[in-house]
Amino acid sequence: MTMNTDRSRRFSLPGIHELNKCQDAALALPLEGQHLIVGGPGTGKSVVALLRARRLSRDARRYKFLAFNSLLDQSSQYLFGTELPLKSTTLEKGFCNLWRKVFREEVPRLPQNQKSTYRSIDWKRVDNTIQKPPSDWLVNVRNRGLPFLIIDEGQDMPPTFYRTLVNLGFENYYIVADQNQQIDPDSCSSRQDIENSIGMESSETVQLTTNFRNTRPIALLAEHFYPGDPASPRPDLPSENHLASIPELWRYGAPHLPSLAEISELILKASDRDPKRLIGIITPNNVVRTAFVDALELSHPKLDSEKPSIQTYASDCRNQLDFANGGIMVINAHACKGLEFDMAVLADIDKHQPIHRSDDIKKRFYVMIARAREQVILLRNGNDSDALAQLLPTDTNTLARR
Amino acid sequence: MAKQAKNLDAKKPSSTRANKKAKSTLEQALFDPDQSEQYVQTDHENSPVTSNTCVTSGEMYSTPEDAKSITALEAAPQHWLFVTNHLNLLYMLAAGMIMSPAGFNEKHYPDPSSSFPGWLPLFRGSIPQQAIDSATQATKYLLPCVVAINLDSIQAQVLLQSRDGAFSKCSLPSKIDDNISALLIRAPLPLALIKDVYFCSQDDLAVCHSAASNSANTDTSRISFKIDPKPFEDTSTEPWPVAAENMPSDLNVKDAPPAQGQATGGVVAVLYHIANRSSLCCCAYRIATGSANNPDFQDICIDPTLAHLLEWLNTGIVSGDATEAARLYWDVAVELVEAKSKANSPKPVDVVLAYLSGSIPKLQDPELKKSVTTLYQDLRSSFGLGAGTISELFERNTEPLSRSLILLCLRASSTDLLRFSHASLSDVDFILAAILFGIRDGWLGLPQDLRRPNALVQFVESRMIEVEQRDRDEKVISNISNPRPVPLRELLITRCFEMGVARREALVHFVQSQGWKEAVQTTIRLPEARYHLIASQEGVEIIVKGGITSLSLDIDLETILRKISVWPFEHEDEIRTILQIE
Repeated sequence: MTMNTDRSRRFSLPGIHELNKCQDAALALPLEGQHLIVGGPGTGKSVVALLRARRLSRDARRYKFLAFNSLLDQSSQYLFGTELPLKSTTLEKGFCNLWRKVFREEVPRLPQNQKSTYRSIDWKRVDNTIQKPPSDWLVNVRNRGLPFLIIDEGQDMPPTFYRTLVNLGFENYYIVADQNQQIDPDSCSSRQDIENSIGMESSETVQLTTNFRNTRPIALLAEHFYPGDPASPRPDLPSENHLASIPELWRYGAPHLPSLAEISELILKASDRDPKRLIGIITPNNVVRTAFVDALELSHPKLDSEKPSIQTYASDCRNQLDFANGGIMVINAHACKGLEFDMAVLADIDKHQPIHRSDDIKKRFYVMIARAREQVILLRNGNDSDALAQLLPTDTNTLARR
Repeated sequence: MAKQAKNLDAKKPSSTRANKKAKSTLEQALFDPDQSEQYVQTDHENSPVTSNTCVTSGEMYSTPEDAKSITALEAAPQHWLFVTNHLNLLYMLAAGMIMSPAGFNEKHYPDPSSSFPGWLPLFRGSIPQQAIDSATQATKYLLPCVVAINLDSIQAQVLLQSRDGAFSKCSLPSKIDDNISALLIRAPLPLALIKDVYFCSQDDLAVCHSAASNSANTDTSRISFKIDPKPFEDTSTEPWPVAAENMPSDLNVKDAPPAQGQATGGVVAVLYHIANRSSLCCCAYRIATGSANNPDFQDICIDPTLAHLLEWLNTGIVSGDATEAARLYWDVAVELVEAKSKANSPKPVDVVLAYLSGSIPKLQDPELKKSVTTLYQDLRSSFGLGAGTISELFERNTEPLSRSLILLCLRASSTDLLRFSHASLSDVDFILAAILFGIRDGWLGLPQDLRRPNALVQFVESRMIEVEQRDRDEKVISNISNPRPVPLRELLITRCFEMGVARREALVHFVQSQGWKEAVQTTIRLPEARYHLIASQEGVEIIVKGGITSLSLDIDLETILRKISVWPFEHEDEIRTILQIE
């Protein structure tokens, strides 16, 4: 080992030159009122949401930051900085806690399905119940007021969610959303749904269009999968740059191809080149996730620094992940939304199951690719799927074959 | 420049002599009948301008001889008002200069300076209402602010606009008549000229502070803010801007982003922060701040690339007598600066790759060509899964040019560079990397950790203005002189040679409190005699009858210099305080 190992990813506020005019507009919105900010991945939505939380915190206002899922909640905590704790929870947990407080019972849920123990919220029953909120709650609201709400990935809750909040007396919203990143279209909201639910004019919605996160080649690859819904503005492509690293497609696991062990070694060395770098390996399912974790843990190439930490996340374990230090994170695709990695490795892409709407797998790839700041690596492990092959760009300037 | 500034600062008679001298030069420049007739008009004496008319300072003289007879031009207090909005103000604070629109990289919100690209319009008395309105028209969330600027310390050619819209030239410092309502001065100007910033109300000021807290590089603590609705209410109905046909052609200047100034600011700051690392690093900093001596110039020449540091700082380019490798390095530096002067500038890594790719075929030296080709391939691979560890990259790429570029591509911020260490990295490698990082980040993009101490901030701000004004025929010269901050290493070396008892004791105490045993040596001198020596597990005991005649504590300076070479060094302030002790 020849180098000191500082992996800390210290949070820092953006420079004023790094905030564009659209973000200025989002930040200048009054504290009170209903506000919706829409933009594609990498346009800085979460940054403005967190800066809004900081402003409320400084002004000693009650607020709640609602993140899409537990991982995003943890990531937001790190991004928020350490001087003031972020008052946050997940969208679902926050809603359930609220329901319990108001109705003194658990939120209605659908029966569990065969594949998991999770029970989705029964939004139909919620909609029926919420038409008449309890009077003691409304008195309480009049006396004490309600906190400001900051909602990240607001597209991923249905219109009933917003109607409920409105009916319960919440008045001040700061919602950031991108409807092209809806995970499940059946239980999501469009831009118009949100605007209608919280009672705002479409012209008041702030649109973020500049892509900060991705390099141009990554943005081009993401655009290849872009669903093209005009309701969310298409992120502007970063400026012309044909020499930046082009996303790479690697094949492994077959004769004359690298093995998983060799791929793991390359990933560890990539991490070692910059210990602060956060590499996200995004997997299609738990089997692949576990395989990669095991391979990385068993690999011991000669490195300049200590071996990086290899973290993984399983939704049933709900373990805490450390976003404050560089290293390698192995997570499933459904958990990656909203997160940002310096390098994103999309592992075993042929194993993503197409679901009932053909656009959904394209949306999933769009979301996964857009996680990356500097580089995207796609891995295919033998058993190539024809269906997926048709989805991939053929232009090697968009996706280089290795 | 410094010499000229000193003369201005001298007592009145000298100042008068200097002004007289300046006046005659100005007369020469102004005594151009075409220009005089074109735009110098005044109703001062209701007399038309003639070709024999010489105009200085807004005053009219019928003949040059009359002008010479004026013995004293007392410089009246030069307090002027710059109108903008709160977001432009914050951007300028971050950039370290009062700039015209091109300096904002498309983040400029229109204000009165938009009408005169490259110039800063300054008002006095009642500000035209239209000027104030123009600062907030772009969008509803902008708030107007009025920046009071003191031009007392400025020497510059300016344009004066009278209340009836006529323009004339003037050379500051000068007395300016009351009929002059606006002054145009070339951008950029130093922040040090700001006296106060006025907002209309407490609420407006609160919004400005709130906006400042959204970003890392908007430090408002140095600014004196005041609340006064008067400048915003007691406005004039004079039109702003004046009609285009009345504008003189002198106003057509290039409004370019201050890329070279910002790059220089970044380089000076990063070199300051690495100066404690070694003697060569300290030498590079002295060269960058114009305080180098002959040994410094000799030392820096050990590397043919580093030898051109001063030339690049002074001119922005490197001459043809540089080696091919040196020219390649400095051309990359020039490309990085050029990229910053464009809107939507490409990423620095991309600039480097593009330049290397284009340069390889043109390289003459086959060894250099081979090493740059290897470097290029390694850099491309390092963005994917292909390249190895940094050690492997350094083994394949041994030239300082290569290593500095590898670091530039693999480390995101200047603080990451300062914290980086590698056994095979030389001082030259590190200094060359530091220069590129400073250029890449520029003063505006430097992490907050490096935009301090205050002495560095003030020095960098004045240095950036000097660089931006350097290539102009008509410069804006400020006689505000900010001395360069002295790195701790340099201070220690200077102050440790002449150390009084109190300072020595304080330093010893500090060193011992830090547990730096190797940094202190105690010498006990005993006369020739028999001594009782007791050695035990706890140590050695010498029993001396009659007391010790001589005991001295010596500081091992090299050890202390080694301790302070790690960035950041947490006890810098303590040692500086000790070094002040007589």
